[in-house]
Amino acid sequence: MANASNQQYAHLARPYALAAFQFALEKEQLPAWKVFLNTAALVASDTQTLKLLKNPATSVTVLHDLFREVLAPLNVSAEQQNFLALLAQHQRFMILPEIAELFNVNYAQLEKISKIRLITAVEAEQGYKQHLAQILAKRVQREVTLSCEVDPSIIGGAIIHIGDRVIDGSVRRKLTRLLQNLAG
Amino acid sequence: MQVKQLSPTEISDLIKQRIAHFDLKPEVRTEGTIVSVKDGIVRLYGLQDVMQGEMIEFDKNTYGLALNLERDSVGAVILGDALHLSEGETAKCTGRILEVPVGEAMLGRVVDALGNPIDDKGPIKAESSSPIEKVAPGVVFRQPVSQPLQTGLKAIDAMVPVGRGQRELIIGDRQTGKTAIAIDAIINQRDTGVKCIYVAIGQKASSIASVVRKLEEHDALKHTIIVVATASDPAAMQYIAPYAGCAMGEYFRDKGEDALIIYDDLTKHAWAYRQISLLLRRPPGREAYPGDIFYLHSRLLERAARVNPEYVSRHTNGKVKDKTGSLTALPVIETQAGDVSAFVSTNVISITDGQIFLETDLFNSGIRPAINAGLSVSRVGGAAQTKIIKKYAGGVRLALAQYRELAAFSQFVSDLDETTRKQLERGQRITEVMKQKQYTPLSVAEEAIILFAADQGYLDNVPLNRIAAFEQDLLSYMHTSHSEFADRIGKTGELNDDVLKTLKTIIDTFKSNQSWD
Repeated sequence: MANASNQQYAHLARPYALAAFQFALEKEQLPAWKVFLNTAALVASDTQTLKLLKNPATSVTVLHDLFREVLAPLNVSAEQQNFLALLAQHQRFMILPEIAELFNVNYAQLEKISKIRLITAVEAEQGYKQHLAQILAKRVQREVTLSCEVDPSIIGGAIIHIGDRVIDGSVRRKLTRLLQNLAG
Repeated sequence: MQVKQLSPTEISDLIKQRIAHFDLKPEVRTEGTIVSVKDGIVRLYGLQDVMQGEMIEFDKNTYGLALNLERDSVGAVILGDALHLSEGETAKCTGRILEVPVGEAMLGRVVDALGNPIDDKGPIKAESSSPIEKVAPGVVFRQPVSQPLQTGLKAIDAMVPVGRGQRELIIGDRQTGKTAIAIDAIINQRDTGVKCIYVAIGQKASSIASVVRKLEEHDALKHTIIVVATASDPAAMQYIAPYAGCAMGEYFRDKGEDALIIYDDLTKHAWAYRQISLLLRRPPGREAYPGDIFYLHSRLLERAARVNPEYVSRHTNGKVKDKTGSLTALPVIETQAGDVSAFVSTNVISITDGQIFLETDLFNSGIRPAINAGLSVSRVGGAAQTKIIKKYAGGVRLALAQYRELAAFSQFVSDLDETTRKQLERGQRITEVMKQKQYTPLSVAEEAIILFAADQGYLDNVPLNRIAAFEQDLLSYMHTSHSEFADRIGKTGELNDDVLKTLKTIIDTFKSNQSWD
């Protein structure tokens, strides 16, 4: 899921992400590009790098060199080099995390994988998680990757996030609803 | 609120019962995150399934209205207080269009734009609720306007008659008596069974309070709903207030009754919508209004209509048969220095079925209601006018038109020929007759006898400054000596030789008993 606080850059990141995705799809280099973009995003969201990125005194060439050097171990291809050069030219290193995010979304769509967040009050058992993943996979008709969180404040039950859609079966919600019902 | 004394066991039983019947299914909803909050506008991320115009639920019982659906975000206006909302909070889709309570229980109450009571008279037990945005009845369900809606003002009922289901614009500068006409029209519906809705948009709270008090004083609040969005309410509330009022009026229309709705005023409504649109970053057009400002008012006023019995019986599931329903709208527009060619006023003029044009000069020269007879028209009301009034009002318009042409010569009366002088005098008298005090709407019989007297020349020998007194005495004479006749005319509005003869005798005897020369 995209980070909501940086959503204002989504419209800037979309063309880059889409171009990279379509290119990678054409050349059948999707996994390589995915690794490349996600690593670049990691670099860009590092606190030290962020300081550099946000400093107006940092020249574009310095940033370009930095990304080139850090990403060198990945065997960066010529096209990926060009991608970095393009970002440098337009001074868009800041939005690398959003580009990677949108790339991942496209990738997940292609691979028919849904990321599902499961929130429970206590740590769920492994068997239960698998069972739930199977049911949800049937429901959304694609593979699912389950990421689990524990939030004791929901008291009991579970909350499932599938993208924007939320299936809320928590005891907390039931209690709030009951309160509203009794008060109203 | 009155609370019956209950024993603790009864209370716990009640609670147990309610808990037992409580639905405990998991809730499926679409969630989004607030990205920014400013000036009553929120920008949301997520909410992929949101519909245009859908209600969005925020924390602490605050609701919003989704107005802009963009590629990456949703723009929504907050209904009510926005101070407790902050970035990063979640917002939920409700899957519902905004609804307001409607029904008989609303009558006599003062409510805000969401239908919540603000008059300290306790909660409203409304029968049902209705979405504020509805599509107007289609062509096949409509019926021509054919019944009069008496405003009780001689000038309007004679010259610019309003029919049930008509949209008649009241337009004029500030302080020309626009609201006064609307209030008189409401007061006159006391015994007609027409339910009234007064929607105050962007007005001072003090003006609204005085309107409520005046209606109460004249026993007109019991058939009236007052929907209030004052100048201090958020623009979103001012924007939805007329639609909320319209939904309340449609309730009566759809069950075969007649209702009258007054939008006071649509200029401020357009301002509120302009504010919202600019904050939502919609491109501004002429006078900085958004592109859909015409549709804003046309879809609202189109809902005022007269519907046929088939429509009514369909809406009441066959309970009400052979009755037409109507919603008459009197929108108000305030002009600046008499400029009717401003954007919003030309729009509303073209949407409505006619306008009542009020002028500052007339108002200041003592002609009240300050109706400009030349510029005011009613495009459909003529078909609905009461027969007896229609017959004698025809002469009024003509006489006034001739008078306006000659008025410039009135200084040299002595040099004019007999016909011109007569026309001038008739015009002056009719102008005098058209004056009427505020809060004194007249019945059909009262209007008829005065118009008859003016048309037939009974006033020609009455001095100008005594016309008002003549009128008052004539009316009280009719009520004391011929009350059944007045009642009959009021009920039927019929016109035949018998009625004419009675009218003649009443005025003849009245004039012969007193000296008016």
